[in-house]
Amino acid sequence: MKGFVPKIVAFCCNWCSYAGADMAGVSRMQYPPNIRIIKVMCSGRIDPIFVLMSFMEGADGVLVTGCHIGDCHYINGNYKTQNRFEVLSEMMNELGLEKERLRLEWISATEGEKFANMVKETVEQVKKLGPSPLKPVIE
Amino acid sequence: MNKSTGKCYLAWATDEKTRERGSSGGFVSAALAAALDKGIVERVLVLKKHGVFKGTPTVTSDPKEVLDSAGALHMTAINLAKYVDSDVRIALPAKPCDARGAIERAKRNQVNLDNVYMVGLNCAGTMHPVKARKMVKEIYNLDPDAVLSEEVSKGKLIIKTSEGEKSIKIDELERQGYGRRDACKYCSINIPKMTDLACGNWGVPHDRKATFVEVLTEKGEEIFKNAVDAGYVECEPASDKSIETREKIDQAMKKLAHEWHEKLFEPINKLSDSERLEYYINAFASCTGCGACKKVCPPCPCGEDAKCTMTEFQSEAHRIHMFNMVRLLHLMDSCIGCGRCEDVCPASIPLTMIHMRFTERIQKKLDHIPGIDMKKPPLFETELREVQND
Amino acid sequence: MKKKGAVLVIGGGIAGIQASLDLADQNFKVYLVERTPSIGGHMAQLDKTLPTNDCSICIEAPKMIEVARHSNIELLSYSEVVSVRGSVGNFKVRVLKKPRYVDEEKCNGCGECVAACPYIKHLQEFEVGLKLRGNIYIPFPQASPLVYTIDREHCFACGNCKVICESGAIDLYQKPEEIELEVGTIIIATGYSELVPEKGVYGYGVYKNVITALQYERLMNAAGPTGGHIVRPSDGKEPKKVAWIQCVGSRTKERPYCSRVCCMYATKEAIITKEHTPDIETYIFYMDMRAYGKGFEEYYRRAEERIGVKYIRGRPSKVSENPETGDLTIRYENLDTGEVRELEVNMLVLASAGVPTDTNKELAKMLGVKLDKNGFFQEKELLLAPIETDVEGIYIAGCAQGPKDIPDSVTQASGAAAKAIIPIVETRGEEIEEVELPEEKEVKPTDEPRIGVFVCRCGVNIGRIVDVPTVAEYAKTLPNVVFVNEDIFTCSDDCRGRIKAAIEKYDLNRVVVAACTPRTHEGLFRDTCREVGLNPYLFEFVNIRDQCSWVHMNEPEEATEKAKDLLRMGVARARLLEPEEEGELSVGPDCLVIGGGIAGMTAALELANMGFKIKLVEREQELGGMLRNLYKLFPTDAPAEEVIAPKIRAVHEHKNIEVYTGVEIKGIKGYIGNFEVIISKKDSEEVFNVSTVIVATGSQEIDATGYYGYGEYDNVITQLQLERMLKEGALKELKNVVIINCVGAREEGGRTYCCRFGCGVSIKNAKYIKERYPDANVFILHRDVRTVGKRGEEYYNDVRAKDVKFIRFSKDKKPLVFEEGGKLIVKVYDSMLRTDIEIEPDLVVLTTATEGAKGAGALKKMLKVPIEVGNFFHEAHVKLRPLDFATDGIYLCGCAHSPKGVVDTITQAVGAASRASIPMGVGMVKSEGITAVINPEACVNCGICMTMCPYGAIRTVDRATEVITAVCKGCGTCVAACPTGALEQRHYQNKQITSQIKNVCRLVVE
Repeated sequence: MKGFVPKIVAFCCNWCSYAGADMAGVSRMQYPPNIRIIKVMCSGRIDPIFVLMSFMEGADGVLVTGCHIGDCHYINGNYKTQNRFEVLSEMMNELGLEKERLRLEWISATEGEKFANMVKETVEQVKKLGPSPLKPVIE
Repeated sequence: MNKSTGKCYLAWATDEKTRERGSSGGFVSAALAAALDKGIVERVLVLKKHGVFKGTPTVTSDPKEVLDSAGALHMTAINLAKYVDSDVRIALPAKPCDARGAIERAKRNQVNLDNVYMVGLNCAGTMHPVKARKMVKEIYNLDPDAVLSEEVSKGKLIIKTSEGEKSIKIDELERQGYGRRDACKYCSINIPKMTDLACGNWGVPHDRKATFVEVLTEKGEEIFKNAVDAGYVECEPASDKSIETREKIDQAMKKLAHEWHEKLFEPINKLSDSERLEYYINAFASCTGCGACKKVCPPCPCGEDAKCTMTEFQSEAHRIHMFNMVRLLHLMDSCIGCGRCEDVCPASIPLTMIHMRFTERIQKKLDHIPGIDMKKPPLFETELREVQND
Repeated sequence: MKKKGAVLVIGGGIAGIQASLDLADQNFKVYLVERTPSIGGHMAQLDKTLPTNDCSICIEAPKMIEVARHSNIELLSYSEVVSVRGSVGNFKVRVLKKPRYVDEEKCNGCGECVAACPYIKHLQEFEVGLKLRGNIYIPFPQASPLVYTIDREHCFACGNCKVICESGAIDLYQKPEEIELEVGTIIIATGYSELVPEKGVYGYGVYKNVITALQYERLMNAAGPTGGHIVRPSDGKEPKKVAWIQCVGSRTKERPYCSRVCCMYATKEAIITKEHTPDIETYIFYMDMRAYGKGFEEYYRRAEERIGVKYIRGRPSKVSENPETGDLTIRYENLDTGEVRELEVNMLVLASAGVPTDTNKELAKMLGVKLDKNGFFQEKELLLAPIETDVEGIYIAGCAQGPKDIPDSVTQASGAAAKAIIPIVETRGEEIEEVELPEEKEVKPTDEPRIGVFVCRCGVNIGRIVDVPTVAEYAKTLPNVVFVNEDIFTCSDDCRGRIKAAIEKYDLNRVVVAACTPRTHEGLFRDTCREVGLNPYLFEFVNIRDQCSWVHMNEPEEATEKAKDLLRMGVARARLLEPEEEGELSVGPDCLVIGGGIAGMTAALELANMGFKIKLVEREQELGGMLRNLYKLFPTDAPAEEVIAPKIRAVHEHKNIEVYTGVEIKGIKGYIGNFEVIISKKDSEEVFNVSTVIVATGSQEIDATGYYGYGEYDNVITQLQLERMLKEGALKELKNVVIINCVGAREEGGRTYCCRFGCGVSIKNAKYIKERYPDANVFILHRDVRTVGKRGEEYYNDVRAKDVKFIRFSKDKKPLVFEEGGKLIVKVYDSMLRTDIEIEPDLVVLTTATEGAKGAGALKKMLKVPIEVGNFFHEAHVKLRPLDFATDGIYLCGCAHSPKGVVDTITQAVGAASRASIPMGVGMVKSEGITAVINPEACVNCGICMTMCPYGAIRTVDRATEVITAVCKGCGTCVAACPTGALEQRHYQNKQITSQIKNVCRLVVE
């Protein structure tokens, strides 16, 4: 039997972090294949509910990513992301989910390496933690 | 709001009947009736009494109905915030949680506070009517249907029937698992300083039948002055001793609330992260998804449609229903701890305590206490409070 | 002869890009000629932009892609202009398309050829020689067009690339091609070059650890040669001490001009260095710290005071190397202390001058325009016509005119676009080809989805790692998938033909392509769908190359599994996609210009000349603004009267301009295309409607009371008072004059900013005093001399030669003005003499800070636009959208934006006119089919969305919340905040995103 293969959901904004993920590819930076990217136009579109739902649907970790503060294509969408994330992460803390499973990262279109490292680190940490306790009950 | 004029009075209704019926000199009823009479407000939202265990929120423009509703109901647990219709100028006699609910609703455009005159009422807690009936029957050995009136005095709950009255210390009732709702036990906001006029009997000398009134805003001033000018109310400045006593009682209540808080939250505080997660999963497992908690929730602005009930978020397979998760999320920055959700939960999930546990983290971290001012909730914020790279 | 509705833009840097987009967006055909393989210019090379530290390529790349995909722009990259004939309206331009040896049509940018090329030894131009490249290359990953180029000069034609290229794009015997274009006007946007210092200058070219600032940019960049690790070229070690030397090659005899951007980029580089590694020591050697732009002074202060960048005023005399360690010793005189010192650093960066592009001479000859003394393009008249050249129909944008920063380049580019339109305005749309598209077929939400899946192997790029046949087989098992195809290059013409055929044959109503990345190819496939009548929003892209095969090269099995997961998610989303309409809102030709100063008048005239109807509103009784008070202008000495009088006359005479003077604006509401404006005259009100608004409300001198005895002593006056006296000839015999600069400016906590023009004004007025009273002693007490604009530095040099005394003071040792024994005394510490000196002046002139006009606050509320420190308006983006507000249809120019001189103001005004002319010119604004929509039944009008929207696109009407679709930009942040779910973002609906989430781990069909 194969060991634990974590699934990580990453939400990326169209302009920076998604492009940063592409940049990792263009530069052939290697990272573990556990990540599934969902693209939105702006990190401000990332409803914290999507994050909750990802966990409920079986994600072992969730990455919320966007443009660096100040770089938002939509003026200040990432400020809102940051504010929401602050509330969301406190919620997850109280719920008792391990902190390492949820991460907010600003990644520019050139930061392919940062993207790759973020995935590497997260996968490693989540592997240590084991499967998410919120994984759904599936008959 | 909160521009306290710092003026404190003892005040009482000039009309003897009102003075008698009101819990402390009938000031509130008289002032409301006066406001209606003189056109400061067009409506008053009152809790129409149906015996001691039931009150129905009623919007009235009849001063008589206002006077009829005088007197506190300790054995009902309604939050009035959801009933405020602010299309007209309206007065709202408000417990702290009513007022906080109204303020949170105002932040979400459900209430126009410009039109609302909040006459605040000190509150040390209320009881759940179903539990209260049981208590009357089992602890007081009285027939709940025969109860004529109730009163809280000197830490005792006095129940009156035609056969006489019986009083038991609230501490004692609470030791036996009765008394105030859990949410009230640990609520530490007892004087509604967020209203226009804070009224109560704390600080009133025992031999006086009067209300201690603190005028907090210009609107409060307007109501108060009107009541006096119109002859509905008489007043005198509160003595330093009165002010001090009121403060002392408030502090004592706060202390008690903290003790209850510790006591009630302790069992979960002791849990490890994973145990706590297990606890929440189990607690929510019995949720039937009836939506009653959402329906009564004062800060929730949503109607029938809401993200918490959206089908695209739901799945039977989830360890915790998304309904609960979304409610938790949306109340992170707005739960006022009024306890209504728990009151109505058919599965008896300790919802208020759970929501408070979540929301208190944000309250501590961001120094944001919902319902006490018009400060933007964190989820409404569009700018960082502090730019980090600066 | 009939005029041509086309414009030639020469140079594809940020200025050329901006000019092209401004023109193309209003239906003029643009030929953009770029001599290198990709557009992007210097901005693409920069790591960050200041003062926001935005990632440079992140903000530029979307514009580059926009250019490449714009149907009105023909991008001629790797091409050069070889000849120009004709005149305005009818230029005939011959352009040489240099052979790339790669077919632009066929190359899909997969990059397989790079690995095949055995010769990797040429210094890469884009990386300023810090990295090697092969003979086949793209300059940088975001290159546009994304087409490879063969360096045939060094290539041995081994043919490896030809063998590996599965799209058959390599053509080693491609021939140069010359084409002829017919255009109406021409914009020169050829930029600048970084001076390569002569060998030996401060050790450059001799000592390995001496590099130029542009090289340093690449070292800092995450995509650069070292992956963003700042290391020394000599040994790859991280430096502990880095120094910058400013003005290398500029402000010299040979190049007397100021390069304008170096002070700030050195500061930025030092800041970012310290952000990388806080304990690196950074030193900047400078002459004057020229932090003149918006937010610059604050940035500089932050660098020095909070980040710990050390600034040393002084020009180093010598740099020597320790051959053992590669460390460098800098010998310098500290001009503040007079000490000669040495500093040892591990690395030295030279802020090298911006110099004219080497093709300028040739090009100028071809075009018949002049170059200035320094070799940059010469404008017609610096103050009156800073964008025009001597040849009608030829305009300048960006650094081709002289070094400038990004916002100034972008501004001038917009200005040049406006200028280029005016002579050919009647030809709008004539050269634009409308593509005939078949009618869209109806796809109802209730229709059963019929999905076609196309999996691409991208040559071996995907196919070598991901088991494409397995993925294709898997696709067949997914619900509603009725057709699956795998192809070697899905983007090829053939395969796109197959997609179209499949849509028709199998009646597909959704198309999913699993291939490279939507960033480069989504548009292409959307068009493909649309060409056979399928709504482009029914297309879904699954990224299995950039985010799968390329990043999991050693895990083919897992990569295949991941590709299957991604495809499942994509198909799930595709099932729920809905056809979306792009929004359109009509915009009429009327514009309100607020402010009748030089900025407002210029903007109004430009727009009026384009045929738009202008309402020009001025609160004073007369037009002219600040310039009415001024004598002569820096740096040309043109009388202010001569600058404004013709404009005032032209404004009054123009049939398209309606002038309102002596009126106040009482209210403005609405949005682009529908602004309702209420103005109040003396005793009446007037209401009118306009489509766009330009804010040109200018600035004013601050009240100087309390500074240096102003208000206390009669002979302490401000520059504005002096200007009036000069104008009226009211000056009396003067012996000693003291001018004090930076009064109330560059202050902590208050007006933190630099006023940008104060230094020029003080120098100019010193000159006039000196001219009138040659024996007078004129002292200028200054902090830094910031003569940054074109000809500014030269002017400063001239005045210095006229015996005007410049005394520098520091912010901690400000001069004192007091009275003693009935005499006015100025006491100042002379840092040159290193002693306090006392002057008994008969006139003290204060060069004060400025602040935004009084009415700015009220306007802010009416227009719902932001205001910042100093009461200046805050633009949409400090670098790339300097003339726009975030809210559509409202634009900004002149001193309302930030303090600036006349040249910059006029340039901005023309630029703002260009911006405003775009929606008015095409008569509408369009919005993508991704805007927010509200379900009114579910909405409770809680208003959270309104606080979220940065564009003011949500409003309430009769207590009902609604989205102004044409104003919405589709970020979706309101949708995320909506508690009820009443708000939805089209194409990114909650159910569409959750379907992806649900399918991450398993197949979920709903």
